[in-house]
Amino acid sequence: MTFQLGEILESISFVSQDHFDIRTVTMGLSLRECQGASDHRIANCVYDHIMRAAESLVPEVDKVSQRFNVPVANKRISLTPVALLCDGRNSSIPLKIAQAIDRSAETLGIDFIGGYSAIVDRGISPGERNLIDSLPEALSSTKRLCGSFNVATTRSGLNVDAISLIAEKMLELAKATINQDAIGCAKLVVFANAVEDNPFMAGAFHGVSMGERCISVGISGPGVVAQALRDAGPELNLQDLAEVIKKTSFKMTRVGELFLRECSTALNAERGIIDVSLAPTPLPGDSVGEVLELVGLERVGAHGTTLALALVNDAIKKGGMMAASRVGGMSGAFIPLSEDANMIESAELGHLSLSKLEAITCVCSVGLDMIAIPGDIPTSTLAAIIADEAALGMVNSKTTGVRIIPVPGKKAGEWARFGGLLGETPILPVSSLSSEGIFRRGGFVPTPCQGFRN
Amino acid sequence: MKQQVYLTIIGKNEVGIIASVSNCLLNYRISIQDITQKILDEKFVLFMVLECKSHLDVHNLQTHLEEAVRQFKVKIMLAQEDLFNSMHRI
Repeated sequence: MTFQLGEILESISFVSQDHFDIRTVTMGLSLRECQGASDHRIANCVYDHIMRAAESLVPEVDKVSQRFNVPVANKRISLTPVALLCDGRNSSIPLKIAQAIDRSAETLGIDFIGGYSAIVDRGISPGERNLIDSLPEALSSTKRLCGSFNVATTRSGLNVDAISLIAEKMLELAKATINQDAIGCAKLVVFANAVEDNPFMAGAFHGVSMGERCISVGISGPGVVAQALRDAGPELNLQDLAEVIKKTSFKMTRVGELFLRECSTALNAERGIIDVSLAPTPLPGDSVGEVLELVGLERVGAHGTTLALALVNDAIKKGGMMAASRVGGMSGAFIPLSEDANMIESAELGHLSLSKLEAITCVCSVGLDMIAIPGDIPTSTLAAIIADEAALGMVNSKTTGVRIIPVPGKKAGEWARFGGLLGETPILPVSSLSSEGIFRRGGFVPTPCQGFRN
Repeated sequence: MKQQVYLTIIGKNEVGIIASVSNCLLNYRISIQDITQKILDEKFVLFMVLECKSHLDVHNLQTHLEEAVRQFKVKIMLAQEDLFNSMHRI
């Protein structure tokens, strides 16, 4: 036999015991074909284009999954930022496009479709303004549509006015989805240094530099890494522990690379990127928090959490980079609070504060993710939370995102429950001190020194 | 064109598992290229390398194999060889 029994058993236990899956196969799809359509036709044009291009996405990916007996958790689509289709048009157009996109996702059997987005780090065009204004209705009247905004980059600086405006609309969106604990805000991410090839929702969009259609794959596997750490035992030194994680990440990513190749061939689409990420689900044994605890913490949130995450994140990337032909997206570790059993538990026990969560985003791939806060806060406080995270991204030349859910009528310590993959979480307290002055000034934070590398 | 598919069965050791599996493979006219069976930690563990036609529907075969061993307490997994190549060979 070409393979040793141990090798085969290891592969099988990844899937059957340690919750390994391909977290997402995402089709990136350009909508630029619809730019020339009239106001009357554009929503239909977008719908038809998505239906044509992604008709076989779900069945073809399912076939590949069956051939290798590895589950694919999600099949998704990311689109050209819709704001690019909205300039020079009636202000009602963004909402019409939003509803057409949502309808297409429903017909195709896709749970989330991303790209209700605008890149506003240097300024807001009239079409982008219309899209931002439509947010509360667009994301409350649809189920599958996800939106994102880029408000800062290391190269351009940080647009404070855009953050204020988006924060205002987020609070309106929260109120519009109050019956489901403001779930509308779980479909919205505010980025600094947003990447154009991210396959993970809710922040996925198909950037303007991308081609017509490509397939990207997001891997996962905190359960597999946790098992490798358990097997390694508590005495292994950190350098050797990093090696264990690297090797595990390599193997997981190689499966992702196989899926990338097979799915792009089956769908006759360009081969995109592998996002080498640890992404949790609320299921027991599928937690990034547990991985951090296995590095040597009593609970996630203890002093040392930032170091543990830095080590894990780096080792995951190193293993993945060797294994994938092209790495992209976020690539690192995701820490969505409401989707990670161990993190939820720590938050419930009071060991994870918003400040600690902000600190650990300095060393991992994303940012403040799926964190619920009280909904009765001033717009400036919400804007300030977003701006702090964006400043971290801008100055440190990294992507950061904020997917935060201000739950109207609920206070810190109460629970926000979203259901399904989005999970549930205790509501974290925010500072009662005012940040209003900085947003009253408004304007633009200029490009940081880190942006001048020429 | 042929493809190699790896069959793994893990579970409680009982009389007749291999017979049931082989009989199902016979119906598909699938050739068994290699077979290894052990008892590991009191569990029945079986690996087979199957040579199949390239157009074989692996999922369909898996469904029929599951049907064939339904009376035993075992888990069946079929996967194309590329999965193991990807993970364990550079």
